[in-house]
Amino acid sequence: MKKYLSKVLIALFVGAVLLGAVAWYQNSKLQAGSKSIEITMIIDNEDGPETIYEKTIRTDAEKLGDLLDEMVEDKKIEMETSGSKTDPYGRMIVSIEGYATTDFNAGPWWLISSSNNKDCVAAGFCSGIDLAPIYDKDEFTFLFSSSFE
Amino acid sequence: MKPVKRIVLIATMAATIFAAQVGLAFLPNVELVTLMFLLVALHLKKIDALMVSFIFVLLEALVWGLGDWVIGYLWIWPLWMVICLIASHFIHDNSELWALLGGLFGFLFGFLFSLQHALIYGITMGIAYWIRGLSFDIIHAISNYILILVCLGPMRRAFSTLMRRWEGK
Repeated sequence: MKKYLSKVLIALFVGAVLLGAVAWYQNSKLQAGSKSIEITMIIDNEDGPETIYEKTIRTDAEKLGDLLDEMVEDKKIEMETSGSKTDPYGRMIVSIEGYATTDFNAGPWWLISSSNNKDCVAAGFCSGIDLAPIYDKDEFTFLFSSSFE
Repeated sequence: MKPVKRIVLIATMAATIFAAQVGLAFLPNVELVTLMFLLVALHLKKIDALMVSFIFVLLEALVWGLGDWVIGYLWIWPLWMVICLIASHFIHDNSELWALLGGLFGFLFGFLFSLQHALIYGITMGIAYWIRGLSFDIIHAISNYILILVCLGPMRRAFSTLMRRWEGK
């Protein structure tokens, strides 16, 4: 063992440096779009639900609102909101792809739900788009409906 | 060697390697299996060495349960012994070169598994599996290097002596 001590120490040092490099890379922003989020948009028509958008998007966004902004920027969807990000509940979705809420008392509104986002599941509902953190492999459904059922 | 002695030798080696694996299982990817298969490849007949690897995999499967990794073990350990046999023509008794080879094998262990994953589950899955395990591969490489560097010489001398006695020479 003594004979090889210096080599053992060098090997341990190289290992520590390499492991550090791998850990740094995995935590860095070099892996663009590290989250994979599934977005589904459904219109609640009289003759049943109609899916108008269904895609998995890669993103580094921290909040659902940031992801929607990226999608608008990339021309994946058209969206209008009211209010601002700094409001207590953030922005509210007014319209997506032309489906707009004209009467906020009667609806229809854009309702957000998720079967696996841990915050939505824990609370039993999803917070406003600017308050909802998103995690890898989350699925979000945007439903344009007058009913909360 | 008498058949009964061969059977006992194969069984004992498989059991010893298995015990070494279980004994170090609490340390991820720090193992003596690579070193011991290196000894088996260099000192036993090819067919006996192959039998040792198969029995070792069988024992592993019995204890840890069946999974796709069992298929991987069935070809990766024999492959390692083939590499050792070929390398023995060039490396001879140089522990440092054996340690480097063992380290390289440890680093490529995840890659070899990822080839199998790519074949079974698709290339994307294979690449993802390999990248995800890189930190484990580094630990595997360094631990293999150190263990072979330090232990190969003494273990080889002890193994040679024991084999001579066992063969009655």
